[in-house]
Amino acid sequence: MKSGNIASKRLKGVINQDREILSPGSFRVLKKEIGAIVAKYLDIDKRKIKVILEQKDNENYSLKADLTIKESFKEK
Amino acid sequence: MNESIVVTSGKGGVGKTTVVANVGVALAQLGYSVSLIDADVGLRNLDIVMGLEAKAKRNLIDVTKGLCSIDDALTEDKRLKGKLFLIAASQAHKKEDIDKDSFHKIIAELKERFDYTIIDCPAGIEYGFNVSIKNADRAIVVVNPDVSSVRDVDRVIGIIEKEKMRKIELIINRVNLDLLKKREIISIEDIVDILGVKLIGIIPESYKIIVASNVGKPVLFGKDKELSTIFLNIATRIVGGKVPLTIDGENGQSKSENLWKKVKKTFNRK
Repeated sequence: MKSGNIASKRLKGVINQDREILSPGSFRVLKKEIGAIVAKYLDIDKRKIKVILEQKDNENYSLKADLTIKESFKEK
Repeated sequence: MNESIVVTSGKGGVGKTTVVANVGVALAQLGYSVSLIDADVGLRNLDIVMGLEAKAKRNLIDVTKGLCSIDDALTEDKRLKGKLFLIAASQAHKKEDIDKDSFHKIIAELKERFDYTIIDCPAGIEYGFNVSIKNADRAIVVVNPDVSSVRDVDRVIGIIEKEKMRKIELIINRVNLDLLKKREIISIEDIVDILGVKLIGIIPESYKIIVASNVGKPVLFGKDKELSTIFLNIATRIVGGKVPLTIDGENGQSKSENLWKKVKKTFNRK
């Protein structure tokens, strides 16, 4: 096998890994569920839920959620 | 409509700056007015590649800090009078010194005055990159035919796709045609297939491009027909003209002219 083909194969391997940590469908569900759980305790704006999945380095990812709490941040 | 275009790659050293310089010259030679912005603050290079380092007295940070006007910082390339201008980066500052709002205002003003405003984006995907992409209507990603470069560009495309970008286009730079023939580098088809964005140029690895940077005279000001054609065709594609591009390059006879159309898959790119 030519090294160009080996490179292609390796590239497809790492890219599949990069891309498939979570499918867009699951991501939407995750976002919704995070919202649902937090909404049990706090009055949040369900239209303003930001969830960011980021790659930190080659192996690690981080998940950040940013939710907007309505009016005063009182307990429900 | 006037547009701002960011040229980016993720990985450093793939030839972004050379692409910005030559595509800028090519667009100006086609008759469009062009401003080039070096957003790689701290690692000022674009003026060197263009051969304008002595003339570029003021820089981007001078403008964002309000020390001079945009006009003071716009350095004209006299080889293309009235058509091609450059705003150099500052060598003495950090990327974080680019004030977001001022940068936005600068790009907005340049967009009013020039047909094309091209932002030479710093490597990486941090602050300087973010400021650059947020001020662009479209993006050109530059990739080399190697595993790390393509992987990084894939990530960059993923980030850019979340912005409201009108277009994302691909240039494959530093293609060693000899190794390509021998299949000792990733094939053009595979790169396009994996990235799934429209290919607008294949630039061969060439000592002439290195020499051009050494002397500060972009290849389009020289006599090399082949390289000039490549960049002029890229410029034509940028402005929406239809020049066929095949995996064999500008003069290829391959039937995969609309290569990118075949690969409009939907990816789960993050």
